[in-house]
Amino acid sequence: MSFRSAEDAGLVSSFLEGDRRAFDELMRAHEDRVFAICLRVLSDREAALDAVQETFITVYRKAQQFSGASAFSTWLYRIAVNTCFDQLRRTRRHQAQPLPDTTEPADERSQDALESVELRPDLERALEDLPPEFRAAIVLSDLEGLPLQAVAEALDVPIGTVKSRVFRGRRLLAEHLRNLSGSSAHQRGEHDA
Amino acid sequence: MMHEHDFELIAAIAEGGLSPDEQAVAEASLASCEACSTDLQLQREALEALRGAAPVVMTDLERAGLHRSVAAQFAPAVVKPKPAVPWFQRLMPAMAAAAALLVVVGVGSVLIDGGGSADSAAETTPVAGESLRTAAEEALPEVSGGAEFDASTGAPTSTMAALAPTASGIREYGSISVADLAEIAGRLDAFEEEDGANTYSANDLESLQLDSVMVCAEIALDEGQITVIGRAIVDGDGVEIYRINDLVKVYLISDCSLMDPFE
Repeated sequence: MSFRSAEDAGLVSSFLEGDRRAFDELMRAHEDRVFAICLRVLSDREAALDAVQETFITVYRKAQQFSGASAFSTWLYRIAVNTCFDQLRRTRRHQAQPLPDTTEPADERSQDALESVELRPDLERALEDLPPEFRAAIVLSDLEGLPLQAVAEALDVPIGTVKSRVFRGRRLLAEHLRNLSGSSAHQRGEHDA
Repeated sequence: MMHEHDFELIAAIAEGGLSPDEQAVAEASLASCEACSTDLQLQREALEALRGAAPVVMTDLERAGLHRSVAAQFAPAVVKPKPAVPWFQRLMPAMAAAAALLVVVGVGSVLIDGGGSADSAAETTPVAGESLRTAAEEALPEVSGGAEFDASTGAPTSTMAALAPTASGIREYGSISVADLAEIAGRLDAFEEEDGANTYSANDLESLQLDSVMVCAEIALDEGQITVIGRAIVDGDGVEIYRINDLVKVYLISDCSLMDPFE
Protein backbone atom coordinates (compact mmCIF):
# COMPACT_ATOMS: atom_id res chain seq x y z
CA MET A 1 0.00 0.00 0.00
CA SER A 2 1.39 3.38 -0.98
CA PHE A 3 1.79 6.22 1.48
CA ARG A 4 -1.11 8.05 -0.14
CA SER A 5 -3.35 5.00 0.04
CA ALA A 6 -2.48 4.39 3.67
CA GLU A 7 -3.11 8.02 4.51
CA ASP A 8 -6.42 7.96 2.63
CA ALA A 9 -7.52 4.85 4.51
CA GLY A 10 -6.72 6.55 7.80
CA LEU A 11 -8.63 9.66 6.80
CA VAL A 12 -11.67 7.61 5.79
CA SER A 13 -11.60 5.89 9.18
CA SER A 14 -11.33 9.22 10.97
CA PHE A 15 -14.16 10.64 8.94
CA LEU A 16 -16.38 7.66 9.70
CA GLU A 17 -15.64 8.24 13.38
CA GLY A 18 -17.01 11.76 13.03
CA ASP A 19 -13.97 13.84 12.13
CA ARG A 20 -15.32 16.17 9.49
CA ARG A 21 -11.88 17.64 8.85
CA ALA A 22 -10.70 14.26 7.63
CA PHE A 23 -13.21 14.52 4.83
CA ASP A 24 -11.97 17.97 3.93
CA GLU A 25 -8.44 16.65 3.82
CA LEU A 26 -9.47 13.80 1.55
CA MET A 27 -11.19 16.25 -0.72
CA ARG A 28 -8.21 18.56 -0.90
CA ALA A 29 -5.91 15.66 -1.67
CA HIS A 30 -7.97 14.40 -4.58
CA GLU A 31 -10.05 17.26 -5.93
CA ASP A 32 -7.57 18.29 -8.63
CA ARG A 33 -7.35 14.86 -10.12
CA VAL A 34 -11.09 14.29 -9.90
CA PHE A 35 -11.62 17.62 -11.62
CA ALA A 36 -9.14 16.68 -14.35
CA ILE A 37 -10.94 13.39 -14.95
CA CYS A 38 -14.36 15.01 -15.01
CA LEU A 39 -13.26 17.83 -17.30
CA ARG A 40 -11.66 15.42 -19.77
CA VAL A 41 -14.72 13.20 -19.77
CA LEU A 42 -17.32 15.99 -19.91
CA SER A 43 -15.37 18.58 -21.94
CA ASP A 44 -17.08 21.39 -20.07
CA ARG A 45 -15.68 23.19 -17.04
CA GLU A 46 -18.99 24.04 -15.43
CA ALA A 47 -20.32 20.53 -15.92
CA ALA A 48 -17.05 19.15 -14.59
CA LEU A 49 -17.27 21.27 -11.43
CA ASP A 50 -20.83 20.07 -10.92
CA ALA A 51 -19.65 16.50 -11.31
CA VAL A 52 -16.80 17.00 -8.85
CA GLN A 53 -19.21 18.47 -6.34
CA GLU A 54 -21.63 15.58 -6.80
CA THR A 55 -18.78 13.10 -6.52
CA PHE A 56 -17.62 14.40 -3.16
CA ILE A 57 -21.17 14.66 -1.86
CA THR A 58 -21.60 11.00 -2.79
CA VAL A 59 -18.36 10.15 -1.01
CA TYR A 60 -19.53 12.04 2.05
CA ARG A 61 -22.81 10.20 2.16
CA LYS A 62 -21.56 6.76 1.22
CA ALA A 63 -18.14 6.64 2.82
CA GLN A 64 -19.25 3.75 5.00
CA GLN A 65 -19.63 1.70 1.80
CA PHE A 66 -15.91 1.97 1.06
CA SER A 67 -14.70 -1.50 1.85
CA GLY A 68 -10.99 -0.87 1.55
CA ALA A 69 -10.59 -3.74 -0.91
CA SER A 70 -9.18 -1.28 -3.43
CA ALA A 71 -7.46 2.04 -2.95
CA PHE A 72 -9.69 4.91 -1.86
CA SER A 73 -8.61 6.81 -4.95
CA THR A 74 -9.82 4.00 -7.21
CA TRP A 75 -13.17 3.96 -5.43
CA LEU A 76 -13.32 7.74 -5.74
CA TYR A 77 -12.54 7.71 -9.46
CA ARG A 78 -15.21 5.11 -10.00
CA ILE A 79 -17.76 7.40 -8.38
CA ALA A 80 -16.46 10.32 -10.44
CA VAL A 81 -16.66 8.46 -13.74
CA ASN A 82 -20.14 7.14 -12.98
CA THR A 83 -21.22 10.64 -12.01
CA CYS A 84 -19.90 11.94 -15.32
CA PHE A 85 -21.68 9.21 -17.25
CA ASP A 86 -24.91 9.99 -15.39
CA GLN A 87 -24.48 13.64 -16.21
CA LEU A 88 -23.88 12.88 -19.87
CA ARG A 89 -27.05 10.83 -19.95
CA ARG A 90 -29.04 13.46 -18.11
CA THR A 91 -27.99 16.41 -20.17
CA ARG A 92 -28.05 14.46 -23.43
CA ARG A 93 -25.26 16.65 -24.65
CA HIS A 94 -23.90 13.51 -26.15
CA GLN A 95 -26.08 10.94 -27.78
CA ALA A 96 -25.58 7.43 -26.47
CA GLN A 97 -23.00 5.78 -28.63
CA PRO A 98 -22.80 1.99 -28.54
CA LEU A 99 -19.32 0.55 -28.44
CA PRO A 100 -18.05 -0.41 -31.87
CA ASP A 101 -18.24 -4.15 -32.51
CA THR A 102 -15.14 -4.27 -34.66
CA THR A 103 -11.71 -2.75 -34.63
CA GLU A 104 -12.14 -1.35 -38.11
CA PRO A 105 -11.24 2.31 -38.63
CA ALA A 106 -13.97 4.94 -38.36
CA ASP A 107 -16.39 4.74 -41.23
CA GLU A 108 -17.60 7.49 -43.53
CA ARG A 109 -20.44 8.40 -41.19
CA SER A 110 -18.00 9.48 -38.51
CA GLN A 111 -16.19 11.54 -41.10
CA ASP A 112 -19.49 13.19 -42.02
CA ALA A 113 -20.14 13.89 -38.36
CA LEU A 114 -16.78 15.59 -38.06
CA GLU A 115 -17.47 17.74 -41.08
CA SER A 116 -20.92 18.69 -39.85
CA VAL A 117 -19.62 20.65 -36.87
CA GLU A 118 -17.12 23.40 -36.45
CA LEU A 119 -13.72 21.76 -36.49
CA ARG A 120 -11.05 22.59 -33.98
CA PRO A 121 -7.80 20.75 -34.60
CA ASP A 122 -6.87 20.04 -31.03
CA LEU A 123 -6.83 17.22 -28.58
CA GLU A 124 -9.79 18.43 -26.56
CA ARG A 125 -12.04 18.24 -29.56
CA ALA A 126 -10.73 14.86 -30.64
CA LEU A 127 -11.30 13.52 -27.14
CA GLU A 128 -14.80 14.92 -27.08
CA ASP A 129 -15.60 13.02 -30.24
CA LEU A 130 -14.77 9.67 -28.69
CA PRO A 131 -17.50 7.44 -27.26
CA PRO A 132 -17.63 8.11 -23.51
CA GLU A 133 -16.44 4.62 -22.57
CA PHE A 134 -13.34 4.95 -24.75
CA ARG A 135 -12.75 8.49 -23.55
CA ALA A 136 -12.91 7.48 -19.88
CA ALA A 137 -10.47 4.63 -20.43
CA ILE A 138 -7.98 6.91 -22.19
CA VAL A 139 -8.37 9.68 -19.64
CA LEU A 140 -7.69 7.36 -16.72
CA SER A 141 -4.94 5.38 -18.41
CA ASP A 142 -3.07 7.77 -20.67
CA LEU A 143 -3.80 11.19 -19.21
CA GLU A 144 -3.98 10.34 -15.50
CA GLY A 145 -1.48 7.52 -15.70
CA LEU A 146 -3.41 4.98 -13.66
CA PRO A 147 -2.34 1.33 -13.89
CA LEU A 148 -4.61 -0.77 -16.07
CA GLN A 149 -5.83 -2.72 -13.03
CA ALA A 150 -6.92 0.50 -11.33
CA VAL A 151 -8.64 1.65 -14.52
CA ALA A 152 -10.46 -1.68 -14.68
CA GLU A 153 -11.65 -1.27 -11.10
CA ALA A 154 -12.65 2.34 -11.66
CA LEU A 155 -14.64 1.45 -14.77
CA ASP A 156 -15.88 -1.82 -13.29
CA VAL A 157 -14.86 -3.84 -16.34
CA PRO A 158 -12.32 -6.65 -16.88
CA ILE A 159 -8.76 -5.55 -17.54
CA GLY A 160 -8.95 -7.01 -21.06
CA THR A 161 -11.82 -4.68 -21.82
CA VAL A 162 -9.74 -1.76 -20.62
CA LYS A 163 -6.87 -2.73 -22.91
CA SER A 164 -9.27 -3.00 -25.83
CA ARG A 165 -10.94 0.33 -25.08
CA VAL A 166 -7.64 2.12 -24.68
CA PHE A 167 -6.29 0.67 -27.91
CA ARG A 168 -9.41 1.42 -29.92
CA GLY A 169 -9.82 4.79 -28.28
CA ARG A 170 -6.28 5.82 -29.21
CA ARG A 171 -6.84 4.72 -32.77
CA LEU A 172 -10.04 6.75 -33.07
CA LEU A 173 -8.36 9.69 -31.39
CA ALA A 174 -5.43 9.66 -33.81
CA GLU A 175 -7.79 9.38 -36.75
CA HIS A 176 -9.85 12.29 -35.45
CA LEU A 177 -6.72 14.35 -34.97
CA ARG A 178 -5.63 13.56 -38.50
CA ASN A 179 -9.06 14.51 -39.81
CA LEU A 180 -9.12 17.69 -37.81
CA SER A 181 -5.61 18.58 -38.90
CA GLY A 182 -6.41 17.79 -42.53
CA SER A 183 -9.57 19.86 -42.46
CA SER A 184 -7.67 22.72 -40.90
CA ALA A 185 -5.01 22.57 -43.57
CA HIS A 186 -7.70 22.38 -46.23
CA GLN A 187 -9.46 25.42 -44.79
CA ARG A 188 -6.18 27.31 -44.57
CA GLY A 189 -5.52 26.46 -48.24
CA GLU A 190 -8.90 27.80 -49.27
CA HIS A 191 -8.34 30.93 -47.22
CA ASP A 192 -4.90 31.50 -48.75
CA ALA A 193 -6.29 30.96 -52.25
CA MET B 1 -3.45 -8.91 -41.85
CA MET B 2 -3.51 -8.05 -38.19
CA HIS B 3 -5.15 -10.51 -35.88
CA GLU B 4 -7.41 -9.27 -33.11
CA HIS B 5 -5.02 -10.42 -30.38
CA ASP B 6 -2.12 -8.42 -31.78
CA PHE B 7 -3.39 -5.17 -30.34
CA GLU B 8 -1.71 -5.77 -27.00
CA LEU B 9 1.64 -6.20 -28.72
CA ILE B 10 1.10 -3.11 -30.84
CA ALA B 11 0.12 -1.09 -27.77
CA ALA B 12 3.19 -2.34 -25.89
CA ILE B 13 5.48 -1.29 -28.74
CA ALA B 14 3.82 2.12 -29.00
CA GLU B 15 4.08 2.69 -25.25
CA GLY B 16 7.78 1.90 -25.34
CA GLY B 17 7.51 -0.50 -22.48
CA LEU B 18 9.56 -3.26 -24.13
CA SER B 19 13.28 -3.81 -23.90
CA PRO B 20 15.27 -2.85 -27.04
CA ASP B 21 15.59 -6.52 -28.01
CA GLU B 22 11.89 -7.20 -27.49
CA GLN B 23 11.06 -4.05 -29.38
CA ALA B 24 13.14 -5.09 -32.37
CA VAL B 25 11.62 -8.57 -32.48
CA ALA B 26 8.10 -7.23 -32.10
CA GLU B 27 8.49 -4.62 -34.81
CA ALA B 28 9.98 -7.21 -37.15
CA SER B 29 7.02 -9.49 -36.59
CA LEU B 30 4.66 -6.70 -37.65
CA ALA B 31 6.67 -5.65 -40.67
CA SER B 32 4.75 -7.81 -43.07
CA CYS B 33 1.37 -6.63 -41.75
CA GLU B 34 0.34 -3.32 -43.29
CA ALA B 35 -2.69 -2.89 -41.02
CA CYS B 36 -0.49 -3.57 -38.00
CA SER B 37 1.97 -0.89 -39.06
CA THR B 38 -0.85 1.58 -39.58
CA ASP B 39 -2.23 0.78 -36.16
CA LEU B 40 1.18 1.16 -34.57
CA GLN B 41 1.55 4.57 -36.15
CA LEU B 42 -1.91 5.63 -34.94
CA GLN B 43 -1.12 4.46 -31.42
CA ARG B 44 2.10 6.45 -31.42
CA GLU B 45 0.40 9.57 -32.74
CA ALA B 46 -2.33 9.33 -30.10
CA LEU B 47 0.14 8.79 -27.30
CA GLU B 48 2.29 11.68 -28.46
CA ALA B 49 -0.73 13.98 -28.46
CA LEU B 50 -1.95 12.76 -25.08
CA ARG B 51 1.44 13.04 -23.44
CA GLY B 52 1.70 16.60 -24.68
CA ALA B 53 -1.67 17.57 -23.28
CA ALA B 54 -1.67 20.60 -21.02
CA PRO B 55 -2.43 19.80 -17.39
CA VAL B 56 -5.88 20.59 -16.13
CA VAL B 57 -5.91 23.19 -13.38
CA MET B 58 -8.77 24.50 -11.30
CA THR B 59 -8.75 28.25 -10.84
CA ASP B 60 -8.80 29.66 -7.31
CA LEU B 61 -12.33 30.89 -7.91
CA GLU B 62 -13.48 27.48 -9.10
CA ARG B 63 -11.85 25.82 -6.12
CA ALA B 64 -13.45 28.24 -3.67
CA GLY B 65 -16.82 27.72 -5.32
CA LEU B 66 -16.43 23.95 -5.13
CA HIS B 67 -15.54 24.05 -1.44
CA ARG B 68 -18.43 26.37 -0.76
CA SER B 69 -20.89 24.20 -2.67
CA VAL B 70 -19.85 20.99 -0.96
CA ALA B 71 -19.71 22.62 2.48
CA ALA B 72 -23.16 24.09 1.98
CA GLN B 73 -24.53 20.58 1.61
CA PHE B 74 -23.31 19.64 5.05
CA ALA B 75 -23.28 22.92 6.92
CA PRO B 76 -24.96 22.78 10.32
CA ALA B 77 -28.62 23.56 9.92
CA VAL B 78 -29.51 27.06 10.98
CA VAL B 79 -32.53 27.57 13.17
CA LYS B 80 -35.70 27.53 11.16
CA PRO B 81 -37.34 30.94 11.25
CA LYS B 82 -40.77 31.26 12.69
CA PRO B 83 -43.43 31.65 10.00
CA ALA B 84 -44.08 35.24 9.15
CA VAL B 85 -47.26 36.65 10.65
CA PRO B 86 -48.94 39.57 8.86
CA TRP B 87 -48.78 42.82 10.82
CA PHE B 88 -52.53 43.09 11.18
CA GLN B 89 -52.71 39.61 12.69
CA ARG B 90 -49.97 40.50 15.13
CA LEU B 91 -51.89 43.59 16.21
CA MET B 92 -55.28 41.89 16.51
CA PRO B 93 -54.85 40.78 20.16
CA ALA B 94 -53.58 44.23 21.04
CA MET B 95 -56.46 45.90 19.29
CA ALA B 96 -58.92 43.62 21.07
CA ALA B 97 -57.31 44.42 24.40
CA ALA B 98 -57.39 48.12 23.61
CA ALA B 99 -61.03 47.94 22.62
CA ALA B 100 -61.89 46.07 25.81
CA LEU B 101 -59.98 48.64 27.88
CA LEU B 102 -61.76 51.49 26.17
CA VAL B 103 -65.06 49.89 27.06
CA VAL B 104 -63.99 49.42 30.66
CA VAL B 105 -62.63 52.95 30.95
CA GLY B 106 -65.68 54.37 29.25
CA VAL B 107 -68.08 52.48 31.47
CA GLY B 108 -66.01 53.39 34.52
CA SER B 109 -66.09 57.05 33.57
CA VAL B 110 -69.81 56.93 33.18
CA LEU B 111 -70.23 55.25 36.57
CA ILE B 112 -67.85 57.64 38.36
CA ASP B 113 -68.72 60.88 36.64
CA GLY B 114 -72.34 60.14 36.14
CA GLY B 115 -72.15 60.53 32.39
CA GLY B 116 -69.15 62.91 31.93
CA SER B 117 -68.20 64.99 28.91
CA ALA B 118 -66.66 64.30 25.57
CA ASP B 119 -63.45 65.99 26.78
CA SER B 120 -63.08 63.69 29.75
CA ALA B 121 -63.50 60.70 27.47
CA ALA B 122 -60.78 62.10 25.21
CA GLU B 123 -58.44 62.36 28.21
CA THR B 124 -58.64 58.62 28.69
CA THR B 125 -57.31 57.92 25.22
CA PRO B 126 -53.60 58.10 26.15
CA VAL B 127 -54.17 55.40 28.74
CA ALA B 128 -55.72 53.20 26.08
CA GLY B 129 -52.82 54.05 23.80
CA GLU B 130 -50.31 52.91 26.39
CA SER B 131 -52.15 49.68 26.75
CA LEU B 132 -52.15 49.26 22.99
CA ARG B 133 -48.40 49.61 22.74
CA THR B 134 -47.75 47.17 25.52
CA ALA B 135 -50.15 44.61 24.20
CA ALA B 136 -48.78 45.03 20.67
CA GLU B 137 -45.27 44.41 21.91
CA GLU B 138 -46.41 41.32 23.74
CA ALA B 139 -48.17 40.12 20.62
CA LEU B 140 -44.98 40.31 18.51
CA PRO B 141 -43.33 36.95 17.94
CA GLU B 142 -40.59 36.27 20.39
CA VAL B 143 -37.15 36.93 19.01
CA SER B 144 -34.88 34.07 19.81
CA GLY B 145 -31.25 34.73 20.33
CA GLY B 146 -31.39 38.45 19.77
CA ALA B 147 -28.21 40.27 20.70
CA GLU B 148 -28.66 42.22 23.91
CA PHE B 149 -26.14 44.33 25.78
CA ASP B 150 -25.98 45.95 29.18
CA ALA B 151 -26.21 49.67 28.51
CA SER B 152 -23.81 50.58 31.31
CA THR B 153 -21.08 48.06 30.70
CA GLY B 154 -21.56 47.16 27.07
CA ALA B 155 -21.35 43.52 28.08
CA PRO B 156 -23.71 41.00 26.58
CA THR B 157 -26.69 40.22 28.75
CA SER B 158 -27.87 36.84 29.83
CA THR B 159 -29.85 36.35 26.62
CA MET B 160 -26.67 36.40 24.61
CA ALA B 161 -24.76 34.40 27.15
CA ALA B 162 -27.39 31.71 26.84
CA LEU B 163 -26.52 31.22 23.21
CA ALA B 164 -24.40 28.15 23.20
CA PRO B 165 -21.72 27.82 20.59
CA THR B 166 -22.07 24.92 18.21
CA ALA B 167 -19.63 22.05 18.20
CA SER B 168 -17.62 23.88 15.58
CA GLY B 169 -17.35 26.96 17.77
CA ILE B 170 -19.60 28.94 15.50
CA ARG B 171 -22.54 30.54 17.26
CA GLU B 172 -26.02 30.12 15.90
CA TYR B 173 -28.16 33.15 16.58
CA GLY B 174 -31.45 31.79 15.40
CA SER B 175 -33.91 34.24 13.99
CA ILE B 176 -32.93 37.83 14.58
CA SER B 177 -33.63 41.21 13.06
CA VAL B 178 -31.46 43.54 11.10
CA ALA B 179 -31.47 45.77 14.19
CA ASP B 180 -29.93 42.92 16.17
CA LEU B 181 -27.20 42.61 13.59
CA ALA B 182 -26.61 46.33 13.78
CA GLU B 183 -26.32 45.97 17.53
CA ILE B 184 -23.75 43.25 17.09
CA ALA B 185 -21.86 45.52 14.74
CA GLY B 186 -22.01 48.42 17.17
CA ARG B 187 -20.88 46.42 20.18
CA LEU B 188 -18.47 44.14 18.48
CA ASP B 189 -15.59 44.57 20.87
CA ALA B 190 -17.65 43.59 23.88
CA PHE B 191 -19.23 40.84 21.91
CA GLU B 192 -15.93 39.38 20.88
CA GLU B 193 -14.69 39.46 24.42
CA GLU B 194 -17.67 37.48 25.59
CA ASP B 195 -17.87 35.24 22.61
CA GLY B 196 -14.22 34.42 22.31
CA ALA B 197 -14.50 34.62 18.56
CA ASN B 198 -11.19 34.07 16.86
CA THR B 199 -9.47 36.03 14.18
CA TYR B 200 -8.18 34.06 11.23
CA SER B 201 -5.61 34.75 8.60
CA ALA B 202 -5.30 33.00 5.27
CA ASN B 203 -2.78 30.55 6.71
CA ASP B 204 -5.00 29.79 9.66
CA LEU B 205 -7.89 29.18 7.35
CA GLU B 206 -5.92 26.55 5.52
CA SER B 207 -5.00 24.73 8.71
CA LEU B 208 -8.35 25.10 10.42
CA GLN B 209 -10.36 24.07 7.39
CA LEU B 210 -12.59 26.90 8.42
CA ASP B 211 -14.14 27.25 5.02
CA SER B 212 -15.88 23.94 5.50
CA VAL B 213 -17.55 25.25 8.62
CA MET B 214 -18.39 28.75 7.53
CA VAL B 215 -19.66 28.62 4.00
CA CYS B 216 -18.60 32.10 2.91
CA ALA B 217 -15.27 32.23 4.76
CA GLU B 218 -13.10 32.15 1.67
CA ILE B 219 -15.11 34.89 0.04
CA ALA B 220 -14.86 36.96 3.20
CA LEU B 221 -11.15 36.29 3.44
CA ASP B 222 -10.67 37.87 0.05
CA GLU B 223 -11.66 41.13 1.72
CA GLY B 224 -9.06 40.94 4.46
CA GLN B 225 -8.42 39.38 7.83
CA ILE B 226 -11.65 37.91 9.18
CA THR B 227 -13.19 37.29 12.56
CA VAL B 228 -16.01 34.80 12.52
CA ILE B 229 -19.00 36.17 14.40
CA GLY B 230 -21.65 33.58 13.73
CA ARG B 231 -24.71 32.58 11.80
CA ALA B 232 -28.26 33.81 11.94
CA ILE B 233 -31.47 33.94 10.03
CA VAL B 234 -32.54 37.39 8.98
CA ASP B 235 -35.89 37.81 7.31
CA GLY B 236 -35.88 34.12 6.49
CA ASP B 237 -32.44 34.12 4.90
CA GLY B 238 -29.50 32.29 6.44
CA VAL B 239 -26.55 34.63 6.89
CA GLU B 240 -22.98 34.45 8.09
CA ILE B 241 -21.52 37.36 9.99
CA TYR B 242 -17.88 38.30 9.84
CA ARG B 243 -15.78 41.15 11.01
CA ILE B 244 -13.42 42.02 8.18
CA ASN B 245 -10.71 44.40 9.22
CA ASP B 246 -12.79 47.03 11.05
CA LEU B 247 -16.11 46.40 9.37
CA VAL B 248 -18.88 43.92 10.03
CA LYS B 249 -20.11 42.23 6.92
CA VAL B 250 -23.05 39.89 6.58
CA TYR B 251 -23.17 37.34 3.79
CA LEU B 252 -26.21 35.46 2.53
CA ILE B 253 -25.34 31.78 2.77
CA SER B 254 -27.29 30.97 -0.38
CA ASP B 255 -24.84 32.75 -2.67
CA CYS B 256 -22.38 34.50 -0.35
CA SER B 257 -23.48 37.91 -1.59
CA LEU B 258 -23.20 40.77 0.86
CA MET B 259 -26.41 41.58 2.64
CA ASP B 260 -27.67 45.12 2.53
CA PRO B 261 -27.13 47.27 4.63
CA PHE B 262 -23.83 45.63 5.48
CA GLU B 263 -22.17 45.96 2.11
